[in-house]
Amino acid sequence: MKNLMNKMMNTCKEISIQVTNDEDLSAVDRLKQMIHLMMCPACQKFYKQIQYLNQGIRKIKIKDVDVADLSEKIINKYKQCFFH
Amino acid sequence: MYDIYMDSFSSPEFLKSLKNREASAISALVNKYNKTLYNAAFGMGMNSDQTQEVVQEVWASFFENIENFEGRSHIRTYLFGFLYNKAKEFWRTKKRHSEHEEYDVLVDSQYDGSGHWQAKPVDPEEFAAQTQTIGKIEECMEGLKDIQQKAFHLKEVLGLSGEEICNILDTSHTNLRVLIFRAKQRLRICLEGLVKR
Repeated sequence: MKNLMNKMMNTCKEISIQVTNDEDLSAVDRLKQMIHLMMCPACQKFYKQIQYLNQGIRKIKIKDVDVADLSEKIINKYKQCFFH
Repeated sequence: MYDIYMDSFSSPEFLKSLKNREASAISALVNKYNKTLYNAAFGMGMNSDQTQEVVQEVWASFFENIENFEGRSHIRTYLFGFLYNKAKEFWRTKKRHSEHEEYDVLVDSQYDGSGHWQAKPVDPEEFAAQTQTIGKIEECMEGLKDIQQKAFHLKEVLGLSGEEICNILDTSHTNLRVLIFRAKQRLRICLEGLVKR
């Protein structure tokens, strides 16, 4: 029985990989993940932590690079010159 | 994600003006994608001079080949294709140290040999306070390994697709999946370390 359970269940590590990647799972994998999470308090905590982490990550601002000069250079280089 | 396949850049009229090198079309396209292109190139680990150079080379290849572009794919995909070629060249000249590593001792030590938790995660509510404190995540990002940091930045901060990131970092989906896992696990461990026990 324990053997069968082990086969059906993903390891905590595999669940961690799925959760951190926020993957679109197949119906079977989704079910397996749900069952694992129901039975495993450590993974439940991990799951919640990652949700909080993701919220925090969304607040990270992209360092605003100023590409205006570069863009202008490129535009001027490639646009058709009408007045020779 | 918004649908990048439905916009004015897809119209035959736009493509025609672009091929005619009309200033308005060129400005629209360059202004729309130059920053993303720059950030993606920068995310490969170049300095800003190298990035500027690569971005200009990408546009040069793009305009050299625009006559052959028939609009079968989205113009963004076509443009980024030239970046991927540059990325491949870049990684070829780099030493292989940045390649995928088989182990990450810190991350692996969280689990025992059969993949069960060894160091159990702390209470999520206590953990949450750390993730909401401005600057803590950025601080912890310093502790990521080089390639993890790149993958994390491209995916989580810039929001590029898995496909795009694999092309830019010249790596497989399987590797990317592990890189993102390790990056977030490392961030989590670092943030947990800040929780008072």
